[in-house]
Amino acid sequence: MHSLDQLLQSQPLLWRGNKHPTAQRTAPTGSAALDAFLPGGGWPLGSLTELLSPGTGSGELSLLTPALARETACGERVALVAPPLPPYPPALAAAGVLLSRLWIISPEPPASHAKTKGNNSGKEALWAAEQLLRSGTFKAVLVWLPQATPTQLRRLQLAAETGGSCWALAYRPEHTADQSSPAALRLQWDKRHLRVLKCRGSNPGQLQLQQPAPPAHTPAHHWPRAANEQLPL
Amino acid sequence: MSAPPLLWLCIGLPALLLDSLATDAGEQPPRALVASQGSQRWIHSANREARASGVGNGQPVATAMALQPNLQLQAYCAAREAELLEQLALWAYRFSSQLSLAPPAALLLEVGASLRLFGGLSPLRQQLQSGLEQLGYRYRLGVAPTPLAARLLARLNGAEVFDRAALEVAITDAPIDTLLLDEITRKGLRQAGLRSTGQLLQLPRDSLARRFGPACSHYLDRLRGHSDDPQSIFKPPEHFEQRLELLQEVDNTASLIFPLRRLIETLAAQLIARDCGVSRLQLQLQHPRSEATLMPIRLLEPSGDAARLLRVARQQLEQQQLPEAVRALQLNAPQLLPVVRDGGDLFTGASAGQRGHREVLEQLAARLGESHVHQLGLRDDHRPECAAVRLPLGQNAPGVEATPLPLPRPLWLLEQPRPAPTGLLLESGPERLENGWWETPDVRRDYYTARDQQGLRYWVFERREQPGQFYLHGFFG
Repeated sequence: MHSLDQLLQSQPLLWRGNKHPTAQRTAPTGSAALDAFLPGGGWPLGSLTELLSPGTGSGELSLLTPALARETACGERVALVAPPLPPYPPALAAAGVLLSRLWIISPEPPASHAKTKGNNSGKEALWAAEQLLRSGTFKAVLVWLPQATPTQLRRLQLAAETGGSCWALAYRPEHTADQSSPAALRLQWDKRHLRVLKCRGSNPGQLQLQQPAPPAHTPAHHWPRAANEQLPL
Repeated sequence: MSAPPLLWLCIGLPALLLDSLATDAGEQPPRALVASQGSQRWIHSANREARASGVGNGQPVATAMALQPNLQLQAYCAAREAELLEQLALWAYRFSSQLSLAPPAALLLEVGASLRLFGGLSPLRQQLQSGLEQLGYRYRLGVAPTPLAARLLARLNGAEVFDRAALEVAITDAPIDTLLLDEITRKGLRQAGLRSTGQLLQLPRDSLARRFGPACSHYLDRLRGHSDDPQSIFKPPEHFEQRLELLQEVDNTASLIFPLRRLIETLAAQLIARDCGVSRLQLQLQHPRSEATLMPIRLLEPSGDAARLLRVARQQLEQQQLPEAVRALQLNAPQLLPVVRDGGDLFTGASAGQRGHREVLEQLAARLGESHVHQLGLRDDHRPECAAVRLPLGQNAPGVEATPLPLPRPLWLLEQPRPAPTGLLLESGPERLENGWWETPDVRRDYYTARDQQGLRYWVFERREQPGQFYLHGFFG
């Protein structure tokens, strides 16, 4: 019994109700509203965060770019693992991300959609993310996981704990919301609202966010098409 | 402070070639090396197990096989022996930089200058002994003030002698046959009734020279330190190349890890001795029939750490498909580079057991392929496809971060534009982008940001040549 107690004390393998939720270390999100909303006041460090998103183009990466910009500006290294498409550096730079501190790990070339290798690529992505997290030399590791089992996610969660102060975030598809997950924080993003599915401590519910708009670009009068025109397609 | 007196240590390797064939430290099968000339074949040397059943040096092969039917025979190769001796010299280079080869199977180290570093002779000898045992070589050591005496003592009894007076005593009982004289001289000395070196030394010098030629008395002078005996100093090469022949052909990569570790440890030992590192290695897997499989191994910075080299090499080896069984491994390091030691941060440095980011990236590149781990850079170009560059690993990111224009740019860009989905709502635009005047065909595009019914946002363009035809080029992630 004594040794069991010791084990629980020394290793954060099991979350216990009496653990104070504010012990969680966090990284600022770059948005005051989001900071206030998230339990702990920012993106949690040293544990896995899951972000369920409806897909590319929903502003899912813009949610995180302020935090990435902040970390890279502080000289920290960040990595994107298995992004679904090639990230476009001019937009990242415009969002303030320092490209020299950013690494892209794409186990399969994003352009190739070989179905047979899909599963393999997922495994390689998990492995790569785990290595990056365990090393503790990357401050943020963002990984895209179209398919992942709870066991694989648990490995990531453990790797994030081993790495210490690393912000681990896994993008997963929307339909995985009802699957069980070992992630410490699960968020659902639906282009406008950020909803907490699971967290340590009390659940703050959901937050309405303005989808970050791309820089405005006023069309000149003589251009052939006006804004807000419905395409005739 | 005067230079320390010279002290030579001789490592005699009586079974260099035989020992290199042993795969593990355990019980060995009886094994012998065969030398041949014309149609004659005789035993060149035999291991302990073979000698136990009566096999001896110089025996005809037929006799040896009759004595020990299970005898494993391998051809003696002088070139291979010289190669092994050189490898061992590289290893021993860490003990002394004044090192010379004494073929066929001995090394001479001037250790007088190394004693201070190692804290005396016995710690040095202990390290040497444990190293040799780990490498699996049988050895005999001798220590004396002259190179020839060190060799003689190594052959005799492994005595350690530190000055000339003691040397005279130590060699008195050495049999004539142990002296490094040519066979005719030794025979002549034996016929003259001389048995030990002591008796030889009592003879008058000039009559000895008259009877047996100047070489004999010159040898004795060098042996006792009465005349100089300059040695040609071994210089380690500026590159590394080593081949390891496997005893049996191996057809799975997992079994190659062990021999590979041996190669890499030899390399690392040389790197430590030279205080160098490598950043590029070439591993060749040689097959009996097909072309050798080439495996380049790359580190992000020069390193001499055996564990790190092995980790990367192993990762890559596990991914390797073997076309055929492997017969031999060859490891090449074309260039030895100075190691950059950043020293790390005393207070915030990574704790023990954590690896630097370069090591992690190396490992990822080794498993996933180098092209799959990269960084991004900007190029000053208005064409969307040309504004981004992939920077391969190890290449420094551009020093200046180009200033991005305050124009809408998507976070995800498709490599090839594709026809846009239907029912998009244009939000802002257009922004006209044209390709360079030097390019054909002329491309003019009007870019818009667009939104679909679900609220996903796209970067689309309309080609001026095909008005109304919209293409999808990126996503506002």
